[in-house]
Amino acid sequence: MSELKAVLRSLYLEYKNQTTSQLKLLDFFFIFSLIVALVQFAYMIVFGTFPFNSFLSGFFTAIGEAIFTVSLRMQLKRDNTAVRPIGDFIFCNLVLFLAAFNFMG
Amino acid sequence: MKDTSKKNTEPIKKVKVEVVKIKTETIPLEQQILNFLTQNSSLLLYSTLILIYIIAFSTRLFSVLRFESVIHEFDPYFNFRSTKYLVNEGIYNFINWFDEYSWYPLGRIIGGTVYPGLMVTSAIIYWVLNFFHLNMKIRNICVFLAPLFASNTAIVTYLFGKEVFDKRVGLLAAAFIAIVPGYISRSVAGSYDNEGIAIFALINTYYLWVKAVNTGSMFWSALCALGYFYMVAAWGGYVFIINLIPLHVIVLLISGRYSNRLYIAYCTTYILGTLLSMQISFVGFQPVQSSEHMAALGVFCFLQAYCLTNWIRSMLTPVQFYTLFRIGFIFISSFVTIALAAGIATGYISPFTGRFYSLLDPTYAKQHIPIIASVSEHQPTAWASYFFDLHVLAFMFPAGFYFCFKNISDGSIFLILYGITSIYFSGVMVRLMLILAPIACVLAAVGFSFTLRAYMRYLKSENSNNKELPQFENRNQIALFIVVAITIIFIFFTIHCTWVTSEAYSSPSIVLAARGQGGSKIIFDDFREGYNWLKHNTHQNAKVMSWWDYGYQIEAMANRTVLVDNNTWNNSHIALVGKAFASTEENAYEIMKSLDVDYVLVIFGGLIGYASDDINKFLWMVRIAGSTDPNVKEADYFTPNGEFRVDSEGSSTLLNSLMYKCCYYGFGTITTEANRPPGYDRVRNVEIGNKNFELNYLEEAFTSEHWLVRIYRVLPPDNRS
Repeated sequence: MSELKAVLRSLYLEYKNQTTSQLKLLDFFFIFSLIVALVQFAYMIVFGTFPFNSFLSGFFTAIGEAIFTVSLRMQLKRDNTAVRPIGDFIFCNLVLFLAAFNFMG
Repeated sequence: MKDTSKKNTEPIKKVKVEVVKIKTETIPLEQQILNFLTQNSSLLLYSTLILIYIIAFSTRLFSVLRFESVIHEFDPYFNFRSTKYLVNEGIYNFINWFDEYSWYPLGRIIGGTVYPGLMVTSAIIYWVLNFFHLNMKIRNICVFLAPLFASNTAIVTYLFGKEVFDKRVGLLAAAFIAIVPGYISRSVAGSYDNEGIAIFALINTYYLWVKAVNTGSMFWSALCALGYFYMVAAWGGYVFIINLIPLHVIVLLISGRYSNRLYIAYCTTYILGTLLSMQISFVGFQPVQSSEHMAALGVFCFLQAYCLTNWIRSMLTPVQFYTLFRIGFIFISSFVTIALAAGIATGYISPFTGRFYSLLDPTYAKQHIPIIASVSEHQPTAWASYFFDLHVLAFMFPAGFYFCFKNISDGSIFLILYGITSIYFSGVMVRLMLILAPIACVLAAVGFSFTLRAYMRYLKSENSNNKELPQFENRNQIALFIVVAITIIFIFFTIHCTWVTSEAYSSPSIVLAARGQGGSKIIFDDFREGYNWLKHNTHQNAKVMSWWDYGYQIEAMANRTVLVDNNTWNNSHIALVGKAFASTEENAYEIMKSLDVDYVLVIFGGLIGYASDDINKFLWMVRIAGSTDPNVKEADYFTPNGEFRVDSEGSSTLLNSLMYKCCYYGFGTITTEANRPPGYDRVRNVEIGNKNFELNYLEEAFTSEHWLVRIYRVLPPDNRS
């Protein structure tokens, strides 16, 4: 158990060293999207799935944002100054929200 | 003037100017042409692509030139009717359409049970053309849509081949798919069916997927998801895509080709694609509930775990990582197992539907679902079909596998997987030869291209003394022979494809043709004659009972209510109709009265020798009826020897059934061939057994010119029963 704590601690330290503030912002947004998805899932479990399409559109939006953030982070880690990945991120968000709004009902 | 300034003390360099004589030779004509072609290679490329586009369109026009611009077969009539409804009523009414003209007492929710891609595509083209006041009739748009999209498929196949290998493979693949018979069979002019646009959407999605994996860009992944959305809108075969792409991801992971590009491409495509695919009402919530989509979800979750593991591993020493990994793995895997077990046990994850189960186990349908087994397109593929539909591509297909393995990349692994899976599925059902055709074109193009590449090098004049090329005896002659032989093979391929298109795949099915005695052409237009009789001589609310094959055509051309049609969504209703046809006239009358039937329509080919008539389909009617009603036994309709005969030896149940009587009423007095007794059936080649009978509950309303379509009116009950 103590060695698990040591491993986690060294993981945390290594993470703090490696990431720039730009990437840390993206990581916070990623955690936030996951929390939003978790809250929606918990709500669905407690109150039932009735408008299932609304639940799915909200859940997929949150998970989608998380995935896009991770993808953006991967591309920006390779090259800090690249602008193209940000443009792709915006385009994917447009498609995601268009589909989600159509699906919500 | 000499410069006497003190600053410049360097000696002036003397430059020797030489006058060089430029030799002006006249370049020979062949060299001039070759120079022009190599320097303007894009001109050659684009003109070849334009030619391929034109050829793909024009080779599909045989039936329009021989007959007329008419919709073929059965399913296209439903699509045509739906497109007309969409164009007239608007998209909102189309999506919410409930059709009371089909499946008589039940009706059919068309808005929720149809793939709207085909109709919406035609409607958009119609609206765009009408906006520019190019008023083209909706029927002509529907007839020519499939050849137009076949040309587009050729272009997308070029892009696909170019993305995986290079332009040379792409061009060959485009040329092959423009004329390959396996694809032409479902995309001739007039064949207005989902496959016409679905193959375009399929290759488009695969091209965008390989592009996304190769570039690792979210933009291409989003485009792939949009292409996938179009495919879902177009055809039920989209399940192939949503299972092949995760399989590709798994194989890449296993072969150690994981990269960030793969993660970005798959996750973006999966999220956007699944959300978009649920917009189609027919698909509904299946992408998160049915077993056919669970593989994609499973690979998605696994890829997240894999990526997370990789990232953590990059930040820790191996010892530390191992401790963390051990605990995490046990925790996660137990969670996943419990979730999966709970999903299957509660029935939340529905098991495979019969349609897809029959793809995995080809013998399933014959035992359990007779309707699926009865369709001729669902029979296993014969060996001859492979050669007939693919010709030389079938031989170069394995060569393509070899070269894909030799020049391995993410894209070529995808080609290999697509090839293997499509070979298996095309063996299960003839209909799925359509899935095999595109990949056969691409892989054969790979095979041909690499072979030609290897030998063309020897034919270039600048390579005649190049010592880097493999040297062997008579290399120039062998290279020339190989290149010429392959060119001749291409010529034979083209001849075969055009012949097959002209002879086998260009028949409209609604109009038949035959050669008369002196070679003159006889046209049998009985089907349209019969349906138009119904349209003009029956009241608007008349209900027509026929076998389900003709349902769509009756709805579209005769505009009357039918009991069962080609959608075959309700097996017991079809079984009821089958039972009516298989029973005696008296029992059938009870069933017909309960269903408010006004007219009975049968197709009879005995006069002219048309083999796809209802008597030949009769056994399937009995089997389907027997699947729900145990009183209808198939054995009753055979002779004691087990033969199916319609002459005097035939079983009495058969000879007294409604179908027999409807087909052969009044036939006993007709002489069909010289030297034969009257009532000689030219399809079964026997003299019929039960002649000169009277009908008590029906009366003959109409028989078409060559007796193909026979319509009977159901008499009202007697005043005193």
